[in-house]
Amino acid sequence: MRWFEGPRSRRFASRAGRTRRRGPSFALLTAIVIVLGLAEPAAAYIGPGAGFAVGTTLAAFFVAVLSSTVSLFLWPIRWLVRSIRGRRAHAKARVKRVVILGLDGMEPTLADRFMAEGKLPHFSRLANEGTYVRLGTTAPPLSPVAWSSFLTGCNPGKHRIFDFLTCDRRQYIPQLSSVSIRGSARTLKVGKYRIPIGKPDVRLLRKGKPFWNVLGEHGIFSNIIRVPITFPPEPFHGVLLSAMCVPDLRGSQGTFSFYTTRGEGEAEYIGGEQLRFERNGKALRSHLIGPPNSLVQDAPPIHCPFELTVTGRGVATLRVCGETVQLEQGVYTPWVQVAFKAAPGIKVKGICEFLLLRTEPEVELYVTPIQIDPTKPALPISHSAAFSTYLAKAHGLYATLGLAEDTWALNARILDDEAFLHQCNEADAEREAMFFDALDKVRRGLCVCVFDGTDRIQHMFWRYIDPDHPARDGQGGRECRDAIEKHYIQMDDLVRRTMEACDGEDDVLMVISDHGFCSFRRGIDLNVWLEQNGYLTLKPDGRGKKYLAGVDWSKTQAFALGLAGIFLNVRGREAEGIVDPKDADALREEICAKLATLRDDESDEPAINRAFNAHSIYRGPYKGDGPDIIIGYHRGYRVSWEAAVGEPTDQLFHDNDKAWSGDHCIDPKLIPGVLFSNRKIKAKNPRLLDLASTVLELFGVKVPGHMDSRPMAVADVDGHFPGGPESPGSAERADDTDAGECVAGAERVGGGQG
Amino acid sequence: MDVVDSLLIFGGDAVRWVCAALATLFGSVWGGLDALLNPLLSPLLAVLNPVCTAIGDVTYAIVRTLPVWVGLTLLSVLAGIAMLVIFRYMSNQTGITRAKDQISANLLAIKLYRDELRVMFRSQWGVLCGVAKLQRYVLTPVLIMLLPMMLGLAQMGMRHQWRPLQPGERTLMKVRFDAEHAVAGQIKLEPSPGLHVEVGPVPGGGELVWRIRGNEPGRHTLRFRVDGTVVEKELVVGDSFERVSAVRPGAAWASQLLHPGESRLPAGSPVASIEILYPAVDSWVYGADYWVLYFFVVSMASALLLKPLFRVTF
Repeated sequence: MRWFEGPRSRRFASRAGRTRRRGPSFALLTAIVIVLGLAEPAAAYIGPGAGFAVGTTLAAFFVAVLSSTVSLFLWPIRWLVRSIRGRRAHAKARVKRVVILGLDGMEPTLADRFMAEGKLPHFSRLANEGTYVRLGTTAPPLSPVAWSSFLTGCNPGKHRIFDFLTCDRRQYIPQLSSVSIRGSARTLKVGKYRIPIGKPDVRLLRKGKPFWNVLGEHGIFSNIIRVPITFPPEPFHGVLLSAMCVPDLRGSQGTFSFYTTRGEGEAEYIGGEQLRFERNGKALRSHLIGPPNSLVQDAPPIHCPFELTVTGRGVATLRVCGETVQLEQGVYTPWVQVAFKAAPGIKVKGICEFLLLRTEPEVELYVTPIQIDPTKPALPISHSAAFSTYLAKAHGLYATLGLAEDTWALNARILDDEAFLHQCNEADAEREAMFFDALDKVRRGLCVCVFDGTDRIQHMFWRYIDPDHPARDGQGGRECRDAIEKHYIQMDDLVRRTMEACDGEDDVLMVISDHGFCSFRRGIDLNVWLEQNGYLTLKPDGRGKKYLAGVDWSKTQAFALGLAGIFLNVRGREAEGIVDPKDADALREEICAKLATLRDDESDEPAINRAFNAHSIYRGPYKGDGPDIIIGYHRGYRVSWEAAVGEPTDQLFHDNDKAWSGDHCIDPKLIPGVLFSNRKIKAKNPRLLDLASTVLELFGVKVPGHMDSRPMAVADVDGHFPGGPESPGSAERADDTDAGECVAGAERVGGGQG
Repeated sequence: MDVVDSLLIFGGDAVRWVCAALATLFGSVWGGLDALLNPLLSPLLAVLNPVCTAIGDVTYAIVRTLPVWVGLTLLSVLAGIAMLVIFRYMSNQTGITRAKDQISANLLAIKLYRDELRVMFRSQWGVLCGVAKLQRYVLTPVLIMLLPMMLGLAQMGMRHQWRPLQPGERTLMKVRFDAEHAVAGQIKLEPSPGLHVEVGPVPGGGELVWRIRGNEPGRHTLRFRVDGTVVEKELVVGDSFERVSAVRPGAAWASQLLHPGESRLPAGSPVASIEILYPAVDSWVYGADYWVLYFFVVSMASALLLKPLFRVTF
């Protein structure tokens, strides 16, 4: 297959060829220029041509020379200031640099298996020479929750992220839990235009302070790349590129477009839409759908027209925004910059990739979600604002969408396995370039980078390694069947290169995952269960309606929405609440107890391991903002697709026949993450949220009192633990640990320092 | 104070010495190259110049219907557009974009990682390398533009640098002789209705000088008889906006390039060049020397403004 050739590599190859060809002529042309340039003063100016030559380079040259000169003159002062600041910042530090490589969703049982088979030699080396332990995750074990706990060192009751989605309790509709994006509150009306006064309100809903902010307050620089739930970026001493929950240009979490000449016209998929091509002679015309135009009444979406001409079997020419792009069936284009005209002189810029799916018998084209252009971001996606531009200029355009890999398009069978795999590999390749650039640039401080490929590939390809999965008859070839294993091997190579880049004695490397992974065979419609048990009542025609629109609120005590759990319909809290707040806790306990006995009759297995009363397991001011009950599903089970969007069906269990076949939203105790390190680490039952305080302590920074995180004991490079074999933190924790090999976040966060 | 004075004097002498040495060096290089290139370029320009002058005449026949500054502006904008088109298709736009990205990335790295001195200095080196790359990518289109632009500017110079002699206005006319010929005593300027000779010829420094006065308006041909041969020079007298050729050059390519209005003097002629010191055009926009500046500013500005339209990166 051709997915892995990558347009970028071919582009580089052609460039290299061109450069070589130009060598001899370059010398000749230079000689001619010298001759003509020396002719006479009157001939020195040769019009705009010379102007271009001078204008294009003079400014850059001037800036470079000026900055060099200023730097040289300021160097002694800077050195002095830096020495004083650096000395203070690193005075108590035990290390120069901490590097955290996050592999989202890396599953310890798979890691164990592949290490035992000798396929992950560098993970094995870390395990043998340093540390390899299970890392307790959070309840629920979802990426936004887990990474929020990682970066704040707090349980969800303090950072307020309990799920991807939360419930708007006034309207009973789902909303994104981590960010709120609203247009400017005030506008000036000029004709048909509405000119906003002030900036759009982009607000991070996650609470708590990331531990790199604490490091920054002590003068320690951090380079943070694609750690989830960092959008919008907060100012601190360092640079950061946001990840999960960065929207696409339309404001969604990723909406792909599928264009076809097929007759059935327009359609809608979860996470995407189908549009028809209009024929115009040989050309096919359609448009990209951009952001809502907030400059005009009712904010209709802005369109960007494009034209596709099939020039042969499996080849076509695309014209968009004045650019011509050659398309080849099955080969992604590079990122293409597109602009949406909001008003005269006002454009919103985005980037997308095109994939010609077929030209016969019908023409089909896939377009990735149109993402924020990092060179001219429509919303802030980095700190400093220039950082996203820097990365694009240094390494080329890159995916900016929070969930860059288009899982929805694969679920909808618009993309096949290979096409999806290409997206995962491309996103990881982009991130690698950024990560190694950070390692090269930051020699003192903190470097964190999270790679999502492990998570996405396991989500979508678990059906190939689970012989009992309902979607096991996948469509992919061998490349896809071995995709998970191959990806682990790729990550092993990434670890090798990271170890090489962190070979300094004062470098601490930690490779972590936020949770593990398992199969998702059956979905449970929790709303049906609530209905069957008398906690939820539907309106007469309410079944099958999304976003809880079919629920009769006057007779409903509890409802399910999102991936994590169940909300109670509490009087005074929900718009039409009926549960007396005084009875809420008893109801929570009652539902938890009943849920824990739920079995799947078809497989005769328990479907739910445990259910947690959220008010008991969380500590902190926001513990009441999430679901009231967190469900700890058994392996193989998860909330059904329909229940996640509040769409009650007529059956309790659903086979999951989607490509999205692996998941991790189960009992956190069953799905720990991993911690590898090049240093010996001693801690009983380490948890993901303990990383924050561990890093702070390595840099000699006092751990803030509000953190639930407790530092692990990290050995010096010679293997000795400062102050004894066990850290005080781990000793303290000895009494509140589970007997199991890993401690799930549920119990641990419950024991947090409220 | 004496020491300071001595240092200043010494410094000044050193600078002068260096400048003189450089001038000598460049002079030698230039002399060698000139000798090398002249056999090639002089005949080429002898063919190109009449063609360019004809094109220039046609162009200015249209442009002269407008006010002079408007005409110059129009030509500058058109030149800017022409250069954009050449740049678009003759330059390595991908390479230019990459070089510019490299420069931008390194400048941003200086800003973002300013606490890391190692990064800062390495980025500055990266900027300089990027500038060098950019120069390299820009070179090809600049070279392609070089000859047409110089020919075009020479045409414009004949209209904007000098103006015709007005009736009754005095100036000097110089005939320079080949180094191998002594200042010819037997040179004779035939009478012409276009001018009235007031003084001359006055010999000196390998040339003869006449002080002349404009007479009847029009484009006249002056005839000089030298050693039995006839050498001609054009003289323009009048008030209107006209093309004037200040110099009839010999077979020297640089002079031919700058003075394309008349054919080069025949090979073997004792006369090296004939020059009429026409008055300079007096205007802060389109007058002598300023017109070049105006052309530069307007052509560059129009190119910059129209750059997005033509999708050119530079």
